[in-house]
Amino acid sequence: MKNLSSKLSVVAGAALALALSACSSLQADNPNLMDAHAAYNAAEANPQTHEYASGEMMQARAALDRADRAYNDHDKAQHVDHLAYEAKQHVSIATSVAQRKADEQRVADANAERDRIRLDARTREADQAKMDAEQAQSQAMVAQQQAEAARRDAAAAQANAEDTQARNQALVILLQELNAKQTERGMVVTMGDVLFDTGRAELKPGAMRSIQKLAELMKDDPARNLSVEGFTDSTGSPATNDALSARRAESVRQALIGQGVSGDRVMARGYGEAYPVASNDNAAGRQMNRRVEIVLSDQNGRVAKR
Amino acid sequence: MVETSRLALATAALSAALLAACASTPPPDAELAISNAAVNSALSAGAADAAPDELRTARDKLDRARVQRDSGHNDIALALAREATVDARLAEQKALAARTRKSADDLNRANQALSDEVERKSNN
Repeated sequence: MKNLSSKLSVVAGAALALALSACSSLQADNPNLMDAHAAYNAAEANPQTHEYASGEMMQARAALDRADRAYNDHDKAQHVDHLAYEAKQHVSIATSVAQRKADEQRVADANAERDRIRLDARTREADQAKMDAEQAQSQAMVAQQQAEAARRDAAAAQANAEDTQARNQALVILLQELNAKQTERGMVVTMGDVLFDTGRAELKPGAMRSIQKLAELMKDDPARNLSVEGFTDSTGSPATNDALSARRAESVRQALIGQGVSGDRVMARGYGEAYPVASNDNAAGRQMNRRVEIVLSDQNGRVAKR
Repeated sequence: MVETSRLALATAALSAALLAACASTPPPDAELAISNAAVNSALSAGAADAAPDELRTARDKLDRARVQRDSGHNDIALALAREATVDARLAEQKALAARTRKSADDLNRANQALSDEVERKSNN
């Protein structure tokens, strides 16, 4: 029993020694096979080779297995070398294929990148063009608005000028018809004594044409006011003359109001025998002094004081 | 003693079998044809420029394989032809890889130039 076990341990020890020596001899006595293993292991450890050249790596593995078998079968060193060489070249092929496929991926990526750059460039160009167009459009719109405003201003100015001219013309005609005189206090329309009966303040119907024209003038020119001033000759007492001249002026004012002129635009006042325009020594002079003067205000409604 | 003589006998028999196998190896014409095709394929892939060493080795081995076959050394001819084939395939793959690498590099450079140009334009 003891003898058998000791024999067994001897055999086991020998087998172990043999296995170890076989192992070490693989490394030592065929450097080509060792190189092939090293190359294979390096390629196997590379993820790129794994990913892109798995088929070639399988061929390399098969070639390496053949070389190992030949070595383990104690084939001629020359044959083992040959198979180890084939295995090593297969590893190189696998590495090369993996390299190419990785670069093919780079080519694909570069093509995609080029498309992206071009698209990006076109997008930017389109955005720029759109922005330019919008700017041009807004500039054109502003220019058009300015032109339109200028045209409106010009039209308004012309209309205004035409209106002013027309009004001035109408005024000139009315003033001519009223036989108005330019004085230092402004335009003055004089109504003679023939329009009143002696000693009375009521206007005769003959005065109405002048009153109507004055009312028309006041309507056309809303900024103007009137000062109605009555005068007499020196016949009679001053008090009577003052009262009569005031009543005649007021009579004219009322006639104007009757024609639609607002009362606050017309001031009436009697000056009696003051401010004669001719001599009271003769009949013709006295007739000229018996009168009602209607003074037109300036454009701002002001009448110069006497 | 008996064991030893038995082992010797077995070895002799194995050697005889191996020798017989050697002698009976037919001319590796198919292998040579494959090898020749692989060399031509490598040439068309541009291996003369990209992998001149591997290509030269492959052609050299193919020539030697033909000489060995013509001399009746079919085993050696077969091994050389097979080596020439893997050498030629490696040369071809190296050529293809070099070409692809150049394409990738060229494209990336062109992209960089394009990108720079786009950047310049949009900054103007």
